[in-house]
Amino acid sequence: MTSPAITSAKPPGAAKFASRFDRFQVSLLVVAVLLTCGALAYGGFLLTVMQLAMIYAIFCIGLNFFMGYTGQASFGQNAFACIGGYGSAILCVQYGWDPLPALIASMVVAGLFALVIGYPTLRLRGHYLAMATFSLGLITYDISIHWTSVTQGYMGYAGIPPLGIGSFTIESEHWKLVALAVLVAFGFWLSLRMRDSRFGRGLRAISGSENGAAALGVRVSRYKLIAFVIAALYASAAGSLFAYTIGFISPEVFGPQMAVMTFTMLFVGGVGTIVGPIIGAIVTSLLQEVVRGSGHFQDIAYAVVLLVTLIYAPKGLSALGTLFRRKKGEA
Amino acid sequence: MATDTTHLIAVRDLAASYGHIEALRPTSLHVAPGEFVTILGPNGAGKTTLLRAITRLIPSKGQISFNGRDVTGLKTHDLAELGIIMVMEGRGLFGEMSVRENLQLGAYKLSGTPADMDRRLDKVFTLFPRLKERVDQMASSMSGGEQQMLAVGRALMAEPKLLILDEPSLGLAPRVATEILSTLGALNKEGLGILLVEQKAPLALKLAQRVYILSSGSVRAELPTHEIKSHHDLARYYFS
Repeated sequence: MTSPAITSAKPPGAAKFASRFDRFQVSLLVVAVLLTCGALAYGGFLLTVMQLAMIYAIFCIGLNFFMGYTGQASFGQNAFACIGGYGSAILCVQYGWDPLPALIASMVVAGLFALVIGYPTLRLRGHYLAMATFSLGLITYDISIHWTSVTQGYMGYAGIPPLGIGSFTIESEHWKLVALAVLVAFGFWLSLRMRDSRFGRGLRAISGSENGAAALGVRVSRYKLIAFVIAALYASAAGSLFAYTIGFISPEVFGPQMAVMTFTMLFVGGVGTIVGPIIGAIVTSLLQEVVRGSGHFQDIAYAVVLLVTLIYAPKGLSALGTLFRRKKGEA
Repeated sequence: MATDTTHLIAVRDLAASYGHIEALRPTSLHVAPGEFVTILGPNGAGKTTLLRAITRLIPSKGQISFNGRDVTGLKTHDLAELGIIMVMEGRGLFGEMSVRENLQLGAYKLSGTPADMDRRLDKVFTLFPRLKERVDQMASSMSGGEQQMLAVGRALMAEPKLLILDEPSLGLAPRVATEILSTLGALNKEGLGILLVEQKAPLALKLAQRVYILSSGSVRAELPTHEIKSHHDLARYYFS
């Protein structure tokens, strides 16, 4: 008779945890928590940097769903962040909505937009899909500049209220970071649940082999579209949270620079890994401040980091533990 | 198309092209319930194209019926749902997933309790005990033979009515290839319909009841395997 511990459809608890996280990844998460605590303790500019890192972490968790788990290329997720940011700003500033309903309404619009755009676009594959999504981001950026009657062009929107529910608003910068960290944790938990679900296994099968997945009954087109919409929802939420945290948005915030930056974050952290989006967002946000002194060379610094990561740690920082173990095994 | 109730699958005038190149000329074949049919032919004969056309992995013309139902317009995932499962050339495994996850994906379209999943896993582990030893190992880290066992095991998890295999012995040591093909023979004896493309003709002919010989994109011969007495017979059909 076979041992249930071996043949069970679900791995036992410890094995399940170990199959998700290795010690190195747990250590990275602990460092991320300590950095957040440090930012809360010391305040100042580090607080703002960590707030932005949390917002980008939410964006990257969604992007990882589409690029990491499903194995598709998208360079246009900034379009959905733009919808989220402007949606929240317009609803709150122009129409006096509360931040939370505005965030949810913007997510719904971004999701519907992703559904309509994704249906024809996701028939493309590889670099064709990458180019199509990149142009989507460019179009949205252009609209945010030129549709001044709605977006106020380069002037942008100021006076966006902070996140809150009803009369309760989060005014303190410290509590803003706490709220963002809680939202990152929630987004992370949700993505983990989806990744390990039947649906998530289907997505990862598509990433492995589209034909192989279809041959097992996975509805490839539908699943890719759903993953695209999920990524758009996360991006939209990140755009809204940016607006509520900083209180101001302009077209530059959601421009091509955002696509480059989030792509860098995802690859530095580890595309397709569980903790990669969070680690990548924090490391790259901190790095941004380190290289800020280089002025116009900031983009070059990003590119160098990306290149070095791709060469020496192709699966990102969060997969370094596996890389070290493999090297040790070979030695 | 008239419904065909005597065959598990019946393919009529199936044709496929890659651009202007006609890789498969109008071809007809069938597999009866519980039958083991093999397709032989030289390299470039169109064997893989035929299997990919049947499972709709490539666009094709022609008609297909399965279990008496016209399934011509269905997509690959619909055919999988009906019970037509293919083990692709190159195995099509998900290398970054564990053996367990790969096997679970095999049963992707099946409903049931965790106990049902365990039962299916147990059946596969009985056929391929090595998979049980490597249940939490990444698929990409296994040997070629083990990967092929996993590919077949994953297909069996779907509880197929027709198992289609594209050169499962490719690149394997003769002993491992024999082990895998023998397992297919045993499964056929239990009533599983099998359509096999195979280069190792002697072994395939020993297991199959009927053979199609494909050359230059069309069927050159269809005959019961017992009528092929020697390599000379086979060569005659190949080059006729």
